[in-house]
This record gives sequence, structure tokens and C-alpha cells, in this order.
Amino acid sequence: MDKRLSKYLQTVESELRGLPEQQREAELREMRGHLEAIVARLMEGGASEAEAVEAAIAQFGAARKLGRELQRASQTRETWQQIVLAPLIGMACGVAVSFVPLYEALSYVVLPEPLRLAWYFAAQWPAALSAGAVAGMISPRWGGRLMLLLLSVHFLNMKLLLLSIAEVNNSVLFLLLSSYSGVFLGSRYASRRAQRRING
Amino acid sequence: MAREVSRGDIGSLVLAVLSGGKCHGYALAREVERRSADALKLREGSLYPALRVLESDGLIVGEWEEGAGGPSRRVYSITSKGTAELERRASDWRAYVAAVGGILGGANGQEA
Repeated sequence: MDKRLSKYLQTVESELRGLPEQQREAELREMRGHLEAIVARLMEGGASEAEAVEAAIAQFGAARKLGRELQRASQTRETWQQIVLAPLIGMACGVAVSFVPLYEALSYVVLPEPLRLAWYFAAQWPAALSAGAVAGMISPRWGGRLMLLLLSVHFLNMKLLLLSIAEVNNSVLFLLLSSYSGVFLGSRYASRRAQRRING
Repeated sequence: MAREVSRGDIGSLVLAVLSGGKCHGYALAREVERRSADALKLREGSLYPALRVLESDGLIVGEWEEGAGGPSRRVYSITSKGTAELERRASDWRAYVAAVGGILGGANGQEA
């Protein structure tokens, strides 16, 4: 393929980094075929290869702008219901996984302090991860971000209220990292699933 | 001189072309030119964001097909939801053209 066409497609690709690799390659393959067809047609009409390539690129439009538009158009669109429900269901999953606050709320039993702290210490990472993952799966773009905002406020609140408890203090950063990881994983999973549905 | 198709209209034109049969991206662009008697031209790259939006809305489906002696191509076809949407858009457009035509009048700017 002509170097200028390759360079053009590389520029488009640079704006598609947010797409899964397989999808990105499929988009580029399709556009490459289209560009090559334009070049072939123009050369049949008497243009030199250089002229045909230049005209094909001009006919296709500015590479970066096209890449950005394609990136935006390829993202799954979300309803407001998804965006609102995502953090709510995510938080509910997080509470269910961490279990202790649910147990205490339903049974009116307060667990002994060492056991309570040990449980919080161990269970809140999977709780934060699952809360983020569920929210990210339901609403990859906005619901996931809302979930992170809520979790950040919650954990910073915990840090402010429980300053005297060193274990909780130190784990806030790791809890935030767990929830960010969860949202990232959940969002990627949901986006890939949506693209597989579109691509058939 | 050919007029560039505005981004908002590309989806409707794609649906209209696909209502006549399935097509790949290059053929879509050529068909738009042909049907408009070269009065309209597309910034051809802009077809692809429009195609993605139409696909995610369920109005068209795309499938890769092996080319006869050539590279595989992604071919698009309209769905029944797309056909209904095309009718709605065409009806809206006709109403819009009639309304604007009523204000602008005839070809010589005469009042309707």
C-alpha cells in the first residue's frame, strides 16, 4: 500500500485508541479497502498513482477529525436509566459482598471490634472491585464514572471519620484503586460485549 | 458545482440507498453521487461514523463478505426498523421542504 495511505490510516488509528484492538483493526481494514477502491478508479480515469492517492485522501477528509468522529460514534450510547441505575446497583453489590454492614443492619448485632475490623479489611477490596465492575458493566461510560465519584466521596468520608484507626486509614487508597480497577474491567467487558453484538 | 452533504443528512441518505439493496461503503458513496446526478458529494470518510451510529441504533446490519478475487468487504443492509425510520425521515423531510417552499415561493421568488 502507498506510504501516504498508510500514514493517513495511522493518523486515523491514533484517534481510535479507546476501541478494542479487534474493532480498531476492522475499522481500518474497511477504510483501507475504500481508499484503495477510490485510487483504483481515479487511476483508471488516467490519474497517476501519486495524484490518485492525494485525491483519495482529500476525498476522505481530515484524518484526525475522522478518527475522533469514528471513536465517538463507536461508543455505546447509554440511556439515563442505565446511568442512574449503574451506581445504585453497584453500591448494592458492594454492600452485599462486604456483608458485614448488611449483617449488622438486618440482625441488630454488632460484631466484636477485632473481627469487624478484620472483616472490613479483607472484604472491602472485593466489595469495591465488584461495585465498580457491576456499575461499569451496566453503564460503561457515565455510570462507571458516577460510581467512582460516589466511592471516592464515601472512602474519603471514611478516612475523615475514622482517622484514629490506622488500618482503615491506610486501606482507603487501596480501596479506591480496587474500585477504579473494577470500573475499568466492567466497562471494557460491557463495551466488548456490545461490539460483538453489533458485529454479529 | 457539487454541494457537500451535511453530516446530519448522511444517515438518511445511507438508509435510502440501502433500501434498494445491500452495499459496501465505497458503493454507497458512488450511489449517492449517481442518484444526485453529481449534485451532492460526500466527504467519504464521514460515511463510517454514520454507519456505526445506524448500526448501534439497529437500523442497519453489517457483515463481512469475501470478495470475488479481491479483499473481503463489509456489506450493509437495512433492517425492518431501518425501513420504518427511513419512511419517518422521508415524511419529515417532505413536510420541511413543503414548509420552506411555501415561504420562499416559486423559482423566481414569487410568493406562493
